[in-house]
Amino acid sequence: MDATLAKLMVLRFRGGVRHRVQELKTLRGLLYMCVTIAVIVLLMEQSLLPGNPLAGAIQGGQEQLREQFSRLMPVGLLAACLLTVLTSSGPAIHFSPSEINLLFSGPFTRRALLLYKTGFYVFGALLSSLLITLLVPAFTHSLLATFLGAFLTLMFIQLFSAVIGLVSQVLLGYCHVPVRRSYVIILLAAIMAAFVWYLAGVANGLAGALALFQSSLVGTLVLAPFEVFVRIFLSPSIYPDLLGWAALGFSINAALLAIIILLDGHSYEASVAASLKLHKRWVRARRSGLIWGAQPVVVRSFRPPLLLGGSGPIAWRQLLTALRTSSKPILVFIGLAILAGPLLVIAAADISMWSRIGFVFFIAVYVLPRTLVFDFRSDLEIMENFKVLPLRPWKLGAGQLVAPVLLTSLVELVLLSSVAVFLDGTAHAISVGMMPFLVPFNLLLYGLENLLFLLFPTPLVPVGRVDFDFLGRTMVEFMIKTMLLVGACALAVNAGMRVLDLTERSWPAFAGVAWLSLALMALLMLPLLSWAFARFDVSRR
Amino acid sequence: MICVNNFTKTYNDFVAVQDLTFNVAPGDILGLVGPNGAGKTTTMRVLSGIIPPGSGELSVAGHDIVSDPIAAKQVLGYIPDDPRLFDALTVWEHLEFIAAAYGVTDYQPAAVALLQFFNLDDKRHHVVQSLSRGMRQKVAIACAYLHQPEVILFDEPLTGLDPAGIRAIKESMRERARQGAAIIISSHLLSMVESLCTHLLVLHQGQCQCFGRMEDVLRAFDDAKDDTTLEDVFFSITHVDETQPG
Repeated sequence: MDATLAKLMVLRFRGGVRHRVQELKTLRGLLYMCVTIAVIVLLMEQSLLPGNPLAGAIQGGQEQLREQFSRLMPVGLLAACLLTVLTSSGPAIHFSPSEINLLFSGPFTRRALLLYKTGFYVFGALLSSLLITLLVPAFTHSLLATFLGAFLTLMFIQLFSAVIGLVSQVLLGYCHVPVRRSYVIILLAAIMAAFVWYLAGVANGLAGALALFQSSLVGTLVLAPFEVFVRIFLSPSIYPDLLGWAALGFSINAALLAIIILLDGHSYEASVAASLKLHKRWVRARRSGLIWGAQPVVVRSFRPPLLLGGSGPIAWRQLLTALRTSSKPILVFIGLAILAGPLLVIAAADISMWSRIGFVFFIAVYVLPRTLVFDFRSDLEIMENFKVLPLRPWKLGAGQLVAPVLLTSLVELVLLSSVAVFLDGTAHAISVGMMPFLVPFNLLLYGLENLLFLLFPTPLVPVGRVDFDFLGRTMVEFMIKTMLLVGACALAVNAGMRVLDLTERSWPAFAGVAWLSLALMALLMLPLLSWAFARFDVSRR
Repeated sequence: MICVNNFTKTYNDFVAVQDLTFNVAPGDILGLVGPNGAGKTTTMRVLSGIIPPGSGELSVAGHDIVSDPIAAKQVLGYIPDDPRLFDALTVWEHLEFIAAAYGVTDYQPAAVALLQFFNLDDKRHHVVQSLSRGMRQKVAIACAYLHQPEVILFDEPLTGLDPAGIRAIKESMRERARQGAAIIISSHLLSMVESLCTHLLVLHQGQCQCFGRMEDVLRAFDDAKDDTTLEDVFFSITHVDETQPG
């Protein structure tokens, strides 16, 4: 690598460390780091408990787990690579605007710049691999095998995806044929339909089709490079197995890097454009929390909103933002929610009721609120606009909560409906019974989210890697939210139970009182939000 | 129209503005000038209700901004130095939003006229994120004008505008003042302040150094030479020698 660029890497690394050390000098930074480390230690401990599916499998038989890993991982890796290619917004390696401005005009070869950037990927992959080694139960023969396997596999996914992107860029450059998105969607739908039709005719469905593919000549050839990385994980000895397979994996990655350097000249401009596009997305994410937000230019303007005492325009604006910037992720969530029922039917025997509830709780309390950010949390940079409006803070808060509460409730309603349709017995009854509680529960949830945000405002995405401040804060917030939500639900159920005793086990009365209790607690969030908004001082940001 | 009495604002130990007193009558345009960190933006933000004052009395059109903030904001238009709009909304939707928020009925003719005045009619259905900084500044000003505010606060209003835009906005300020609005302009463009403003307030290190009618202030510093400009006055008051670097 170019000596100057190597020096720049060192300087930037030192700057990153300095930044983290500065954070740790504050009480908050120190506490957040302690929380992060404590949670990692707990996860490490938990991953070895017999209740954990992986750990249980280890105790049940390591060989069985290795066999499953060996059979499924090549296909899993292929899927991960394809997913990375399909979801990446650019052809190859991304540079930040400052790198484009300062380095592209500097006395550096393109090859040196690519190697410099690859250095950052290596650093990121090393950190991620360290975490994977700590958290994944040791079903491999040694920690070194887990670490090397994770590192080389992560690098492979990154480099392989970049090569596929570059090759398609080169091919499109030769073809000069614009492809309409609708044609691509029709083609993908046709492939999916053919695949489903094929699966219907194969014994054992998906598992049978997978076995057929892996045993075929095409399957063997396609999966051959991925097999190498499985062998690294499962090497029984350091020498010759681990070192031999790792050397082969390293050679594959080096070859991919060479191809990237070779092909990069064909897509120089596209690479710059893609880098700038990605950077804009991150700036937007830091500003508004909307990572997947699209950027339309000209759209149809909608009719004026209902006033609703001033809350109407606020809610209307957030719903429009959701429609224009995040309709795709919302549709993806709805699609996944539709699949919940069928998936639970397939896996019902293997997953306990508590695991299911825990998973749904995590999705509802963490994943959805972090994706559907259409409230105060997306308006950190434009809080001044709300401060000057002639609106009572509680009306403003109420308007801000409408979009996320409605959208989250919609996704959850689809999920519960899917479960209710495909499952019967207790799961069916619980799903139907939970439906009326979605709106008050989500009002409480987003009220808490916004309250915490207004009291301790900060962007919703991390600053670089190993952002203890972000990680610690996220974990603390999740714990606080969980405690308050569980407490609120327990209070509501308790109120319902008392009425149940008084009314000789009238379940409608139980549900009505529990719903009213939860709704009342949710509505209490409005004066709290009003107070928090009033004390939010934009000048102290 | 705008009354500020003994206003003080502190951030922890730092005094941003100290014991500031001034008035702006209907039809007056007050130029608020001062070096960086003088307390201009703090004063504007407090007047617009964005941040709370530390102490003192501040009222807009007779409404105290602490005890009656909603009524005060109803008659106020504020244009910040950096136009932060709602990224996903179109230009027209911004005007609709403002009309709804301020309860403006039959706003369409006025909105169309504002778009034409600022040469934004062809950008009506553009999402504001796709507009240049200057255009976004014009959208912010059009939004501030839509509800016919009695008090308008401009913080560096001409940043990023093209010459035609600068002329249009200066003319619009004069027109609004003629119609009876009280206007405050905070700016570092001393020539613009001198040509546009009827009154002047110079802030330095959070304190009022000079307040009065523009010609009176210029006359007060006229003893050194005949053609005294605001620039001369500014450097004389703030004790910064423009011939020395830094």
